[in-house]
Amino acid sequence: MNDGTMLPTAVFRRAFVAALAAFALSDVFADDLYVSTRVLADPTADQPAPAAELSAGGVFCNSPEAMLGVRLELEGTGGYDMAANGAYTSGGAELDASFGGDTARFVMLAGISGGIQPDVPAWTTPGLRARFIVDGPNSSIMIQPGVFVQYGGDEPRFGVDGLARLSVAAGDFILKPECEVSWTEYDSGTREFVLMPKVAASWYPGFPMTVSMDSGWKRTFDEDGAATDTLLGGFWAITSIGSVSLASVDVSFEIGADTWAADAEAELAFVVLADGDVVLSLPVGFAYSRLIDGTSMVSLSAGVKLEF
Amino acid sequence: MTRAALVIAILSLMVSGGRADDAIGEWFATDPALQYAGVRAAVAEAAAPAVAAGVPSVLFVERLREAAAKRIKPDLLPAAIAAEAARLLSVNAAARESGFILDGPVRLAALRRASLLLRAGTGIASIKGAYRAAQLANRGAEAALEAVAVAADIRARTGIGVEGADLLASSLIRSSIDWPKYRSLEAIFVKGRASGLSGSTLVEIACGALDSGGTFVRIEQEIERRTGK
Repeated sequence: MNDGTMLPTAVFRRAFVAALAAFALSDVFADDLYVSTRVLADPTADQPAPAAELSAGGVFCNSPEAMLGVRLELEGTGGYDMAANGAYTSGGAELDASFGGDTARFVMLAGISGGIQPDVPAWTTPGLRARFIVDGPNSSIMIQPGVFVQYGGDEPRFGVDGLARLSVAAGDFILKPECEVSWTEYDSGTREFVLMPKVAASWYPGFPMTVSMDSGWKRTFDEDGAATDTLLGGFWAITSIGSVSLASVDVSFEIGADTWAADAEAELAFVVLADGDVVLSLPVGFAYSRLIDGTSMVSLSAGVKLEF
Repeated sequence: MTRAALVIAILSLMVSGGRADDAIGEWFATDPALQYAGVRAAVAEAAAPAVAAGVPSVLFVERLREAAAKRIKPDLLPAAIAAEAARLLSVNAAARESGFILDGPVRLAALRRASLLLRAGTGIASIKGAYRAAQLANRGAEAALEAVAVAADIRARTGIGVEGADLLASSLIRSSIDWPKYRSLEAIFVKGRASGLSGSTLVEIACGALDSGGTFVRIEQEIERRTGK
């Protein structure tokens, strides 16, 4: 459909039609829908040029979670990057069905995501996950095996993964030790096995602010058995400003033996209208990203978001 | 009961009642009250129905001290005290109708807190509903009023409406969570809103988790399941 030269008007037309359809159907069988548009630019680029984006998404068929719950989540983003002189789109759909009662649940998740970007082959990633959850009054255990395939993109691959997590309440904190394993085979024939133990914690104090943090260690084995170690970490803080506006800071990093990568984002979402579930906000953001190859990007953005 | 004991009880009641009634008068004898001397009788008259119904007059003294500190104009004071009396009468009646037998400092704290909630815009129906839920769940007035206060703050931040706030307060009261920890729910709602969930969805998640025996762990897990964050 696209080789990176899709006209921006076509991208926006499709996103606009999707947003209109979502709005029309929102009262019937959907909730938590959103439409947002923003302009972003990298002021540190040699020739700074803005990109414009339109995103829409939401949850459909969200049946009450009693014995059987079904929900479908869709989201998509279309944009035009003037610096790269090309359009980009990405989107995803996730369908999950959950069965169970108050203490144990089984959730099947089927998802697919995909995208088209300038200079990158179109990609799509279907996946399937099963999630088993056993809840106690102040703790919970989750085991989640999954399988995924990536067609196209930079590195087509097939993989299986698994996650085991314990969540325990401790005062104002919820502590979440977890371990993730994955095995991936790339189209080029290379294989890798990843073992990633991690500890995450969420802090919910007695005021409208929350902090989530995690730290872990990733050991990657290549097909010859050689291991590479990486230290992982992350921090996400959100607070309410005034009554309804939100400020957030989101930082994550990976530190390897020779290099490092990091992402940092800060956003202020000024709410200008709030009427029940209808919220109109003006988000402004700053983002910094450093890739493992040493290249870095800065992005400033401003936009409008409507949630309904 | 012996005759002597009966006499002592009656005398005790008279003495304590006399002290309560005098508290407003005693305040008017203090320096900060000098500017309000002209409205003393009107203030006493405004507070009288509540004091007669057993509302401790020290609660009015607190409001008088607050008014003096804020340099409220004297002619506004009787109406402010009358409004406070109406609030205290209604929350006093709400506790009694719900079967709460409150006494001493607990009663004083409950009346003070409930009146503050009314001043902040909470309806008396929400307080009555919370008292009823607390009675059924064998919880105290502190738990009921803290749940109403937390739900009211969440309502102000997320637009969940009175009905949503009342559902949330009732679920908190019925839950196994200790009432001093109720405030954490406000922080969880902040995370849920930042993750893109609407107020009504968060109420549905929180009430579903709490009513099925869960605590904040299950609410967080459900938010993360729905948002992938």
